[in-house]
Amino acid sequence: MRSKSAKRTPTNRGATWGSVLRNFSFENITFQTMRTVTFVVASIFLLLAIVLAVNLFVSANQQADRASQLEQVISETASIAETLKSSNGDLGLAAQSLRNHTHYSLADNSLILFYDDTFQPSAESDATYRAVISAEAYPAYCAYTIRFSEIIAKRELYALEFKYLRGGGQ
Amino acid sequence: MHELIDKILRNRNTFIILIAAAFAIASLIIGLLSVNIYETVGANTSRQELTYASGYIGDQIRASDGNAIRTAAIEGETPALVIESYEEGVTYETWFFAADNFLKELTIEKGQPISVARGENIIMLKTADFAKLSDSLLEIRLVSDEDDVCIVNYHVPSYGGGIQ
Repeated sequence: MRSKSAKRTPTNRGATWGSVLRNFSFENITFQTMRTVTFVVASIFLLLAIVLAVNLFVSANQQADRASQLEQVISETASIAETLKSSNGDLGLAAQSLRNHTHYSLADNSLILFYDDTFQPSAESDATYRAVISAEAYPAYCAYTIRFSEIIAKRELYALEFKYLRGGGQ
Repeated sequence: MHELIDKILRNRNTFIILIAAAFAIASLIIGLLSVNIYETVGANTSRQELTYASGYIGDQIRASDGNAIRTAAIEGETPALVIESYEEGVTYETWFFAADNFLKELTIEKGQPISVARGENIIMLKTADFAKLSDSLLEIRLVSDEDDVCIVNYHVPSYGGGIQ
């Protein structure tokens, strides 16, 4: 059976692909060759379809995770921004006003808040995410920057910069 | 190549098993991913309810434009947020509170009696709590049906008297 199959295949007789193409003729195509080509093409289509379908679902899964993550980040950032607006440039006061955050890092002009993987406030050692807040006070207004990032991946997820008039103005 | 394909095609069982195995593996992967996506979307829906509820209340606070805002308790036990407004010389109060698994909104003339049975349903919500952190900062704690918790702070401009 094997020798019979080998006789029908140009490449098995030592011919190069170039000579195969030069000598190509529809009359030389056998039923077996057609069947082989059909099988190969069908297999490639099947594999491509499977790869595409799996890829689509993987991509959808990643998008869903990312959307969920981003929504929580934006919600937290908005809450921090509202707190900063009422702190009049005092980051220590802002940290105390964010009552659910019992662990934070406060320096001269920056405040760092920590969150676990479910976006609940956490200690630095358990944190997956962090929000770095910096403030610059000017006579008439304060300029704030909030940067939310993933700690291990060192990837910034969201950043917000805004200015707010001092003394509780609009 | 021909030989291998010949072998596969001639043994139909092998061919069918190969195709079935490919489909089974792909279906399993897609099924697992679908379950994960479904769970994520479900969790997102719960979070979105909280985001919508907090955003809705936040919009009302901003729209109050400095009118009096205060925290209160309906019948002594249901926390509520009250925003005052004035129209044609009449003072109205808009109450926000959670009851019957809904965030509710009720606008009444100031001084009228209020109960948790009244009010328009806004969105599903298990509980809502409001705390005054300072004269210009309000903390809202919302809990969804799925027990997700959302704590957000809102700044209330002090030029209108802040939070009373």
